[in-house]
Amino acid sequence: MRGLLKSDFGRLFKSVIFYILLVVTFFGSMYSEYETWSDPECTCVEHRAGDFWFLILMFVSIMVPMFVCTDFSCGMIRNKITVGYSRAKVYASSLITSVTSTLLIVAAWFLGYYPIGVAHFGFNNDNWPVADLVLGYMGFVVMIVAFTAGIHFVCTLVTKKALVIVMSILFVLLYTTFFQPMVLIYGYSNETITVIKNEDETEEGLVVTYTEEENPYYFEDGTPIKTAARAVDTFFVPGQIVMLSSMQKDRTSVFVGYDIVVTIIIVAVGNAVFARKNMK
Amino acid sequence: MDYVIEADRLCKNYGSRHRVLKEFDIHVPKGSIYGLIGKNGAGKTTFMRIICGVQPLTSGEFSLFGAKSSDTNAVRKARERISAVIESPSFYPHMSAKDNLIQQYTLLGIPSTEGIDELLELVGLLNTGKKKVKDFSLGMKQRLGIAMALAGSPDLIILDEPMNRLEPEGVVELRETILRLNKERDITFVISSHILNELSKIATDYGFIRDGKLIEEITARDLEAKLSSSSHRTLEDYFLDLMNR
Repeated sequence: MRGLLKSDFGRLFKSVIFYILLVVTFFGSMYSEYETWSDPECTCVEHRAGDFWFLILMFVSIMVPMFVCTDFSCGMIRNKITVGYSRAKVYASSLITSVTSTLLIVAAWFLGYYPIGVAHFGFNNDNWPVADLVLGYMGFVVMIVAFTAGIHFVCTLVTKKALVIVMSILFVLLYTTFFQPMVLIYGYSNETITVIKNEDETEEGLVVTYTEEENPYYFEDGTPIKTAARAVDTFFVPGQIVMLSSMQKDRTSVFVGYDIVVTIIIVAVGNAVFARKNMK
Repeated sequence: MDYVIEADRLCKNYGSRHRVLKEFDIHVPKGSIYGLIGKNGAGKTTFMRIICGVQPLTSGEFSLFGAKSSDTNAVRKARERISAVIESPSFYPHMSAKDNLIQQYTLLGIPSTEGIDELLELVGLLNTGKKKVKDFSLGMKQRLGIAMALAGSPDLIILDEPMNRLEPEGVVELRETILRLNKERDITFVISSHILNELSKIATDYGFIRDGKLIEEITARDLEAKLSSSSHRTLEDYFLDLMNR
């Protein structure tokens, strides 16, 4: 196992794309800092700290397939098995390396965001319970780990780098509702939506006022598109229920627990599938 | 006689209908250069994949250095003594030949990188420097695959169509390398090839495979005697006759 890990980490630390993503993440966090600074509602760094996860999910969608699928496309996975490593060890080693690369990207984000952010805004000015804050962060990190484990599993099934990258990015866009067609799907549920009415520069900073407008994507009950949208929405409901319930102050542990359970299930299923896979 | 590989009624099915290996028996003597000969789709590569563990078998049993396939841990341990180049050689295309060999050494748990230059020289790739493998010619890639297979001094090397894509000089170099390693280091080779003329220059034993079954095993010496006493003049004639029976 040590040889496998050394080989996988050696390859990761020679990967140019990994360093590019680390640098972009670091400077991306700086940009997010600027956005935090521009938001008059932010009184402490924690207000927008959760913004990091979208960018990181996108980078993980690129990094993990680049790393894992290469092993399949060039036949090295075959080589690892041939020289006597068990499939479980091969799977575990590449998963550990993938998760570590993800955690290093998360660390790059925090390193870019926190030192300046805390100095500028202060830490926890809203006096949230520290345990909730820590659990909240842990929740996001474990969610990203679950996502990494998910992509890692897909890589062992599909093995085509470009295809997995596209699938993963689409999933992230769908899941985070940044994707316009997904706005159609998610927007169906309310007749009105909240939009920015005005942004005024004042002595106290930028003041934004909001207004309610008719939702152009709203669909009447019974239409086919509403039925389809509801079906997609339902697909994500189990996760959403747990996540929404964990958004309450005293429920963040549910979020962490949910993501840990998801990670364990994905790894167990992935390992079982990989153990029976015919390698090309 | 000591056998490195023995197989007893090996079967491999893809789905319920497609049977690739049908009660396949084989005996590869220790220290031999075993030529596995058959038409495309006969099951040669599948057999090699099963021995290497990249494909599970459907039924039957094989032993590798005496370790039975039913004993998963023992056979995995035995695999530490083998190397293989099946279909296309395995390496990271964005790395140099030397970096690929360093990766292979790391995988094999060899702490020192001594011997890498020697391996590169052996396959004629010592002067490739930092050139990435993706920019290599097909022949160079094949030679690197063989260098990777030689890393860690295995006792058994499995080569699937190693002479394909090699230029004539490369074929001669490969032949001499195989003969030298077999003689000097007592490495057993299992080689499948369609270039029967070349195979006949190195093989000490043959196995003929048709439709997933090994139909004949014969030593090179016995085959030579058969050829001299029959109308067949070459290995190719003998093979064609066997396949058409």
